[in-house]
Amino acid sequence: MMIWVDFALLWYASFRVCLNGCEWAFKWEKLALAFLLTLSFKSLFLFFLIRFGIQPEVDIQIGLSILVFMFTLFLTARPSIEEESGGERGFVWLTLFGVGGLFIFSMLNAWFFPITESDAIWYHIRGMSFFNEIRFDSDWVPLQLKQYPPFIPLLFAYLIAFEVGFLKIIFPLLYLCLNIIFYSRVLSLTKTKKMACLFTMVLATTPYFWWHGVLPFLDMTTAVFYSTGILYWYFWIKTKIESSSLNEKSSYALVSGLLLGLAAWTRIEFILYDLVPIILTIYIFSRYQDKTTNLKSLRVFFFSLLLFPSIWFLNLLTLEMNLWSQIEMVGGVCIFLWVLVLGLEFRQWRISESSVFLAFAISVIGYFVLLLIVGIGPVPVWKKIVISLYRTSAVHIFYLFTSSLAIFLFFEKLKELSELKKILGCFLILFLFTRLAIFAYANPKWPTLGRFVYATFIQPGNSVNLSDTRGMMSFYPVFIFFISSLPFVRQRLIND
Amino acid sequence: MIKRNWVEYTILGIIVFNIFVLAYVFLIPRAQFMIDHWEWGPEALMETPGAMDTPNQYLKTYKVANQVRKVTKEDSIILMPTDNWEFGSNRSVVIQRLFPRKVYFFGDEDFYDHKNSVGSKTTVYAVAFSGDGANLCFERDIESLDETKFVLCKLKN
Repeated sequence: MMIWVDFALLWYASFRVCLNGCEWAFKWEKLALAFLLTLSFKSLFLFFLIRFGIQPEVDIQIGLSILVFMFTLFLTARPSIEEESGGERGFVWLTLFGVGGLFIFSMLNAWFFPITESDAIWYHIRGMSFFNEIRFDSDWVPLQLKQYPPFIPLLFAYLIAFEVGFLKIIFPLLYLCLNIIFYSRVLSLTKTKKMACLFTMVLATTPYFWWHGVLPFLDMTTAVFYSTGILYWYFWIKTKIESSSLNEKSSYALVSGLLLGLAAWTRIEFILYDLVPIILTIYIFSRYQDKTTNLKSLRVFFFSLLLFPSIWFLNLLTLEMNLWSQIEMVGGVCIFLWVLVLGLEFRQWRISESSVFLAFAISVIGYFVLLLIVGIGPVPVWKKIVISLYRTSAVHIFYLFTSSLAIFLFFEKLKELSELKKILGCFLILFLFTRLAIFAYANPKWPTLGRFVYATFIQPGNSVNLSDTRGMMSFYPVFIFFISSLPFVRQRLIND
Repeated sequence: MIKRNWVEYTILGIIVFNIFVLAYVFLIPRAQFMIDHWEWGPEALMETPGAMDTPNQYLKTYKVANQVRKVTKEDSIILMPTDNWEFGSNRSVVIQRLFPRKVYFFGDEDFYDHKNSVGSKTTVYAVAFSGDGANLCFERDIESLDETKFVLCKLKN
């Protein structure tokens, strides 16, 4: 019972923050966004309590929530954007019924099935350890897992503190939030409910997404944070190109940066995927550079993005353990990003368009040099690249019919797309290449390509739950959003 | 009369096929499983093969761990046989179910340190099975752990 009070206080406080700062969002979208913010605030409170050796007891947590709640009462509420009433009611009801039904069934699953999935058992142990042992480096947890970011185990610790038995409850709620935010963003872009409903239904019914809405892994969470972060990033870039008000720019930048940072707060390699929007952002700011260019929103974006992962890296440095080499590498990327952001902030660096291209080319060459020097292992580098290339292409069969939306690309005049849509298209391509690069660097699960082909087509059960298959979940909502933005698709759906 | 073109039909087709796969692979088997086990508690569910889409790999380990959990106190120490059982033990399951009991596995580097440096007020149990190589319950009073072929003995009160 007390958890309802605690969560309601924090959720309402987050909702007031959204009412104050996100005037570009629909009301229900603000509720979904507030839910994500609530989870992130909660995880941050718990992190600091544990960090300072305080057991996160119920009364301490409720006290903190009341404090935050009181603080947000002083925030003024600004009006939300309103959807136009009427039109396409059949589609709206069908979507409500479809998504609602899937959500209710996934809640039922979360309540019914206990945690017995391999990785999730460790997250559960970490959650119990955070709450009972009040430390991040429990002896019960293997070294590698201790270094994983704490978001999901912290939320488990939250539920354990309030003696809630069914820990999987977070995941269906994240699934619902993803669908609500996705619907709102497509509606905001296309201004037609029919398109928003159709594409939301595509996302909601994609079996892989629903499945992960009931599985207690990290992938649904990163997919929600990363893909919604990218959707808001797209609207931020849109405001930059269209020269909208400074306030709007900053709030989009803040929300998008926070969400992208939260993805890395859940799975640390997402700081590498965050490089894609970062590079594109710097490119856009260098392209649209003039005397009136205000870097406030850029600053807000970087600081909010780096906040959560940096806290975790600093925490790791204080623990007595040898850092896993891949964690060290990702930590190096985080330091590089801080140097970049501090350079932009204090040294007033002005980056030209050509230097962005040059930096990009150098980093690609640097990557291959690194791959050849450091990537030497039991599997030759060329084989790793081939395997990664295969996995990046074959993984889409697990997303079934949703991936066939790509056929619309063949009917679109891609060269005539607006610059904004080209940037989103570039994002999708760069995301795939980043993924390719990450998995070419890491040691593959099996040493031969044949084993991967076997695991894809003959025994898909071995392949469907690999981390690279799951990692693609962050790509699909953005991909579907991109398809919904194509003029060819829009014309056919609206003018029929 | 509603006019639809091929783009709309394609998208509707994707939704319909997605729903078909969703229902066939996930929704119907999971609903069936839930109906069949509706009144079972979480502990009993851990010992079932689980839903078709996520088969429970550790049901035998859960059976052992749940039995140990039933007969030991939370502040006790449990010494387990080496982490390589006939059916593929998983130490995560044992730790998950027995937390906050302290669990140590035979074969771990510091196993004997833990075994010998136990405070006087802590109860120490050992879990064993025939041929586990540790002989932790050799010549002691043993308690059979239901149908698991594992036994439990008290090493120290």
